[in-house]
Amino acid sequence: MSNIDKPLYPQLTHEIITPSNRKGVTITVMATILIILLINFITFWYLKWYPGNSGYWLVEQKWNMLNALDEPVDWLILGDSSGNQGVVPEVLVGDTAVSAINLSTVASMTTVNDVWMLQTYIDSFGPPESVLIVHVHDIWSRNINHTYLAKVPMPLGSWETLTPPIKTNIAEEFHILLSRYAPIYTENTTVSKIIYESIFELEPLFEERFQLQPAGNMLFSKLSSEGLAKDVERHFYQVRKQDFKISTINQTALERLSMLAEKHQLDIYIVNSPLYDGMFRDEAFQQHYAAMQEQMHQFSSQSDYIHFLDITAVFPADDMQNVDHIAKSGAITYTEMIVDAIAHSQLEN
Amino acid sequence: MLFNSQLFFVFFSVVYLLYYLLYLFAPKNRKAQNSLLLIASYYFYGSWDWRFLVLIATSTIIDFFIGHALNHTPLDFTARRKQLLAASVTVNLSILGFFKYFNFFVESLTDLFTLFGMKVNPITLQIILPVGISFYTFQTMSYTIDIYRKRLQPAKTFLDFAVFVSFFPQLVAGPIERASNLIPQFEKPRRITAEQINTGLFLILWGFFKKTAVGDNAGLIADQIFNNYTNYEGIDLFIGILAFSIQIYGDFSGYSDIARGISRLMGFELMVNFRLPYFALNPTDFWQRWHISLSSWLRDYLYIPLGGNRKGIAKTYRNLFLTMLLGGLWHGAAWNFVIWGAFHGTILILYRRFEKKPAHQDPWGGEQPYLIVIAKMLLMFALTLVGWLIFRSESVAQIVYFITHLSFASSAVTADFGKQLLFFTTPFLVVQVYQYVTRDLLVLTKLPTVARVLIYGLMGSWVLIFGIRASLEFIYFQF
Repeated sequence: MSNIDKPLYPQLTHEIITPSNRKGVTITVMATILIILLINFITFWYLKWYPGNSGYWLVEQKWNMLNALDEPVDWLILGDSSGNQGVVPEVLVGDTAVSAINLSTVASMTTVNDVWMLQTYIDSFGPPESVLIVHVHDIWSRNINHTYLAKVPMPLGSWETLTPPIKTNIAEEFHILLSRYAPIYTENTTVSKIIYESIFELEPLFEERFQLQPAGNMLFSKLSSEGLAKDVERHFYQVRKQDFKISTINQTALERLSMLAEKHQLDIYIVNSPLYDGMFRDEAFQQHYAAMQEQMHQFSSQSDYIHFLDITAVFPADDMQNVDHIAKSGAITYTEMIVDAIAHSQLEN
Repeated sequence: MLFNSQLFFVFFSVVYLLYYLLYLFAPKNRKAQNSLLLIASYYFYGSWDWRFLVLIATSTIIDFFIGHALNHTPLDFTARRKQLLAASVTVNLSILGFFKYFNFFVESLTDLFTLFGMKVNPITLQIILPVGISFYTFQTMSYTIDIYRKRLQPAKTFLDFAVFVSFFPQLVAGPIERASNLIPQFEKPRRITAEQINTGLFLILWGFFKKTAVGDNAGLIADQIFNNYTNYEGIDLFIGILAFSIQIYGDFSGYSDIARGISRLMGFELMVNFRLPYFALNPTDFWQRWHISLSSWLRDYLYIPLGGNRKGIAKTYRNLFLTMLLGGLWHGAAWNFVIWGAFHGTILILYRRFEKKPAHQDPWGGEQPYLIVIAKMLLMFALTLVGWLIFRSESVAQIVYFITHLSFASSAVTADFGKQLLFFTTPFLVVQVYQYVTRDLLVLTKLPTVARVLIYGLMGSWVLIFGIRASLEFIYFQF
């Protein structure tokens, strides 16, 4: 023990260093890493069977659904989580013999995911009759999130060969690799929540947390008013922080979408997500929303096959899970509004 | 560049690889090793703001040359020696005073004039506080003072001194190293032993655990309550103070451990900065366990020069109080730190006046009933909490609110706060008790291999799963 480590008084706790050797240290380090890897493997296995993050799970599930499709459908519903829980395929097709599947994922995948899914579908079955794409107002400025990208069941890096391609640098590739195989690092919030809730709220560990309806959509119950208020604040902050803009990646994807629509003479309907009226009433939000509507109209005017449905589906708090995700109670109404808007659009054309 | 950032991980990996290659292939080339450390340290510090480098370089150049001038000035040239020392202290304190305290003093004086009905137009400046300035200023000041006292020989080369001032593991948040401990380590050939790697890796892991998994999680609770304190009362306020006490301890001692662990991997020994402070029995004991590098600095360069306990009871009390007052001010340019220092000065005096047993006897030696020892520990912890309330509060009104609204009343969120704090603190507390009982901070490194590896693996996984990733800054950076 050096002088500096010598305790001032006998009762003070100090550092006692005992002899070690490099072999022992190496074994300790390697074994520690092995234990961490083992815990990671157990977590990986657990989350595969009992996923805890609905967004990650949704991306993987919807792609699995698409890859498992064995017959074509008439309506392909794409978009983000607002469409996942807002569009009820059975309501969209009504009593007709038309079929529909809801493959909406999450906003963090951007419109690129819509294009990839549509292209994959076309490669397997040819173009569907129609495509409906539902997005929240704030998706347009976003860039793709690599953690979600890692959940797409494709070989790593294959997105560089898709159209539009996603190019990644070494750091991003490393992050994607970790996102796919190291959940204790990349899904730590989910894992910590599961552990914490299983201890203190006695939540069952081995129980399915999410369930898709047969046609692909999900039904959500209402959130607390406190959660809704926080969500409104978050959105207000975002719309006040920056003017509406479409990110480069979304712009590229929209152009590709337009090209596919023209090439296959495929009607693509784009619609905005349901909105909580408490947020919609805000003046700054309305400005942001109007700018979004204007740019989407501009985009749709470039092709006869792209239709931007100009509906503003505003709902009271009782029908909303959060500001742009509708609860079970309002999903049917929202889908009916879309059906009317599509019929109106078809009449106009 | 924070220790808990990916950037630091890349930075340290590159630096360590180069450093170890030099260690292996040029073991006697200290110049190359120290040059690498100096470049890395300046890059590390410059990553906050390149302009800060001018300050640290100025401080380094001045103190290096004054140190040598002092050493070459014969002892009987007292006036000349005093002038040199005064020059060093003045420059260092001026830099510190300007960057850290200028606005505080101007605003305080303005308030004082206003109190007496005089209207003044204060001049305040937009000054960026350079991170870690209080730490390296104290470090360089101790260098010249020790040379003046003939307790230290000046650094042999400018390179050795420059790397001592800027050594990146401890540059921005300590420990505040003494030149007598660190400079000789830069002046001799490196030796990286298995013991250093073994304990160094443990300190890094334990430091990250304390910082990210314990301190930062407790900080979320503390911030929620302190930042919205009027929304809370009763037990919630107590939980807020408790959470802050865990946050600041986990955060600061975690940083110190990581700094010491990183240094050990490179073959350097930094001083122990924390020795389980919440087990202290009285204020003297607390300051021998909390931020030891600062408290021992204040003792050696302030309390003792003021006369220490050699000039009667009244002057001892005055010296204690002044030392703690200035120690409080060292933490930041705000009145709450001054009040915090005054509070600790006061309890030091009260304990010295009324406590019968001296601090240095073994409390578990059987002379006192164990219940008394535990009661003393709890009382000291309660006083520490009062101190942290003052430290964390942003106004006197906030302190008063906390004190007047503490009660046994609970709210709808009390259980949630309590459970969270319990969850994140329990593993930490268990290890702390084990360290205290065995009186060994490195006791975990001595467990049987299987148990040790299992605990390390769980601790590493715990950091990955529960550690806060937002690279929340270490609290002591602001000091």
